Amino acid sequence: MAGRGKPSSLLNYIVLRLLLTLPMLFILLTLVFVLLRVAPGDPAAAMLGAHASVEVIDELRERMGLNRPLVVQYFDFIGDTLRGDLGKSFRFEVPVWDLVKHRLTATLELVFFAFLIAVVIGLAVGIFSANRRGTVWDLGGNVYGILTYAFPIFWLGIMCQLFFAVKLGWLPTSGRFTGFLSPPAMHTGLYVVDSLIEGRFDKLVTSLRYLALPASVLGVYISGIFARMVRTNMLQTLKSDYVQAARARGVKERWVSLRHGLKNALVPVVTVLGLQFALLLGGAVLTETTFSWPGLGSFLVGRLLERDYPAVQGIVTVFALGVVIMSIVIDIVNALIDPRIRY
Amino acid sequence: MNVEAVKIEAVKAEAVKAGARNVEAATVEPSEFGKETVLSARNLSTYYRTKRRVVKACEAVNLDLYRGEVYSLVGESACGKSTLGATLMNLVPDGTEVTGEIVFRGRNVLTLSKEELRRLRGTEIALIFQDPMTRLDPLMTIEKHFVEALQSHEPISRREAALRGARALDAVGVPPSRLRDYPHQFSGGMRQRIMIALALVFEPVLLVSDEATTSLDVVVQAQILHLMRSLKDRYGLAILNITHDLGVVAEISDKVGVMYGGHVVEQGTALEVFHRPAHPYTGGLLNSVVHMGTTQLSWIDGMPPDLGSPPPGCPYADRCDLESAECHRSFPPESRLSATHRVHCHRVAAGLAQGRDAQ
Amino acid sequence: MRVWTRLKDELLTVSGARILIGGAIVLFYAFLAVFAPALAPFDPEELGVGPPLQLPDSTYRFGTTYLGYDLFSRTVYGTRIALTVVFLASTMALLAGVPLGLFSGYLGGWFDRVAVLIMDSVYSFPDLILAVVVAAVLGGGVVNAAIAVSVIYVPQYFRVTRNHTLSVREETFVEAARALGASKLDTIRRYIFPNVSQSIPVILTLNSADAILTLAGLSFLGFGITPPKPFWGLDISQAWRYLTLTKEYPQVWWWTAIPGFAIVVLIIGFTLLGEGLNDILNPQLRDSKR
Repeated sequence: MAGRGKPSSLLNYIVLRLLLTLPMLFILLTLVFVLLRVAPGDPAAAMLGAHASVEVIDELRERMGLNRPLVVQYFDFIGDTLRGDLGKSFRFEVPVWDLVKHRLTATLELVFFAFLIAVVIGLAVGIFSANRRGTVWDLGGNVYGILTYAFPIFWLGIMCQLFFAVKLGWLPTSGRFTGFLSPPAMHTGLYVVDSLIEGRFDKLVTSLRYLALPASVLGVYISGIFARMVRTNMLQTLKSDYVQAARARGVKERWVSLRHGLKNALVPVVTVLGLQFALLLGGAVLTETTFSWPGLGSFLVGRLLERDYPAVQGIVTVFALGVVIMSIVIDIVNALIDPRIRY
Repeated sequence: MNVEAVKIEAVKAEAVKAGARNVEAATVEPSEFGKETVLSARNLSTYYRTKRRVVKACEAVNLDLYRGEVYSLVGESACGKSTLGATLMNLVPDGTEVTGEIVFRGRNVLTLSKEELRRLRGTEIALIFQDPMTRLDPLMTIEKHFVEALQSHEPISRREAALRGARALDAVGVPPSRLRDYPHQFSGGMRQRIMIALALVFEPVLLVSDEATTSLDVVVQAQILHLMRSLKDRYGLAILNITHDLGVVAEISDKVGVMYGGHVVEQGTALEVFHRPAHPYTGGLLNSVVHMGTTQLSWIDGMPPDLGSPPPGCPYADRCDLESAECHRSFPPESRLSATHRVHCHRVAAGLAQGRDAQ
Repeated sequence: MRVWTRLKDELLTVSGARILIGGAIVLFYAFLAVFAPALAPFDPEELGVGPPLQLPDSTYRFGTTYLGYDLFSRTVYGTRIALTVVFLASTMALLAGVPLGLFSGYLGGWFDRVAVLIMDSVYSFPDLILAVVVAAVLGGGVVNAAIAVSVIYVPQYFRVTRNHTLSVREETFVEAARALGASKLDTIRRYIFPNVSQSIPVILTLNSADAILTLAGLSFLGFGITPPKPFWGLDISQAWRYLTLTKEYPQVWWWTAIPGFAIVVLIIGFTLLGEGLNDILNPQLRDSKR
């Protein structure tokens, strides 16, 4: 018989997954390098624009180390990144990490709350329509999925700004915090958490008010796809043999649907959630721009418009790391749900 | 071919004689004294309705299950036997048309509400299935299966439920220490034992086994059958055993029903059906079993009828060697050869009539 | 007659209705794109054809923008850009992804492993971020935008083609062909490709919806399609910039609402069409990334 549930087997599994993500990290870093150092031809010329003189371009090339062979540049880049050095911004002339870290926490806060909203709505709509398959409710869930997908997220954002912030005046239009209060003291970088640490209720409410619109828009956008995933996978598991067996045993229908149907549906759903995390980051770029949220996404757009390629390279590397970390998290969560994976 | 014809002649003659013997007996209602009826089905039909047609999976079935008896339902695949099993527990999909009467311990199963049905399932009627590998939730420990089943029917603490689960596992020969294990850590035979333990944890009165031993290897199959028989004796279970494996039937059955084209064409005690088969199909079925020393394989020509468009007469008529014009016209009435032995066959009916006339 | 009844039965189902509605929407947009010059009363790229911020009326049916562009003409001409980019991007992604997937799946070995690893990594990377970086590096314009958008979809075609090839490869008739001495290339062309091409229409349609959203996103951020080209995402972007600068929010609702509706309706059309086709052609392919 196979081994019992020893914690060491889970640990082994996690270590194995970590090792397996190394090639993925490596390829993503290579992709970043190819995109930003190789594809533009001469990044120095591209950064300075068409009117720069040859000397200036040469000087910049020298400064950025672009004169060295590509192979050397490549290994330098990989080595620096693994050491935690994301390079220096061309425009601000400070290390990219110093520019990025506050924006990273802003993005994390937005993405976390959006994710929370998406999971709540997605589970509710998904379970609801799976249990009422083929009824008007199910059709309603389907329409919800198509509509949330069809609305461009930035457009939805603008419409919400116009309605909730401008017309009704319930919520602030954009930004992360009001100018009338000083932001909560930095501990975690998440304003909601920092307000709690500081014990300032007014700051907590203010942060949540600023967070409400962008997080809801991003959350609703993702929730449609999530609901659809939950529904399809639940319908699949509700047809399975063990569900029929549980019904034959007279197990309460609510338990059949949630403990068997939903729990088993979660394994594929969680896997897809990993891919949706990428979608969430993409959506975050648009949402942050729409709501002037001072996060990583809007920062990336700004640096791209200024052709600050070293900074772009650092930001995109952070995104790549985020994707890799998320894929590990997904694997661990799945292993916790499904005993067949961890033994 | 010849051998079969001769044998069927013999069957016919036997039927005529038996009919003659039972003329008086047949007038008495064939209830069996001293036995507690657990379930009786009267004129039971199950029709599946699809968009374009109606599939008559089960037609005008009469059936009685008694305490402490194993009733085996045999037949080829797609003859309606699994549908009959599901119908008896009212586990058919929504929109299925069920007519007739199923009386389970004095209650008509077909008129119960969903909640009443749910309470009935598990506690009084238990069902075990063909493929034990996929019947347990892979994400739940065995203990959780027991806790969930028990808590669905009675207010009971987790610990108490786990204790009863352990006892039930012990009764079917699974070490109770493995209660915390997951389904994938067990072999197929072990899983079927667990399924049986789950089925019996409430001490039901009726156990429906739908091909429960089919996918297991022969040794394990024998073990499970032995287990079922001993549980039957210990708890006085009624068992409805649905199978296509005549070896299994011979092993454990008290009564046998032979199903063909949605009808139970012959039923009786195991002895009656196996040694004095009256329906030509039963004869053919028995002949197609391979015994030690069989040198020539025998089979029944043709295919079972499509239940979506059944023939008007006897469903077996197209494959029967003894068919007459009447067989294609109407479904044969029930002929009672003994208090327990009944058959639907025009030949037998004609034989009986002849016997009566002769008297 | 019987064929017609069967067809009618099929079209009366949910999937059939989806195909009909979705197809009608997409055809309508194609019609707009083809006959844009006849339908649009003004040059979509010409400034000041009307007063600034004119409300929709009989002359300017969808109103005008701050710079006096006719929004109706721009919306109608927008279909051209949208469908051109979708067409170009899909073609490029197909041409890159399908052959790569075919060979990877058919050849197997280290080539397959490396290809899968690369494609999976690209697939897992946020689409929009990838597209936005590529678009920024390449610069604006229809073709460059199409390239930026197509990069995202190459891994999807690759995956589907490869998985399909793997399963078809094991089928008996392909093995038989190989045993009879058909060359690898021949086997791919004669046996595997026809099978694989069955699942392409669905992905193509669903990706088209996604491509338009991506393109709109790029244009909103200031990449891809650049002014004065008429495209919905760009108009929304301009309106949004105007709104945030002036704070005169409610007075110009048409400027954002109309191009937005143009996007939403087309996405719904493509999605319905794709899902309907999916239900009928290959129910097992449900729920890839989107």
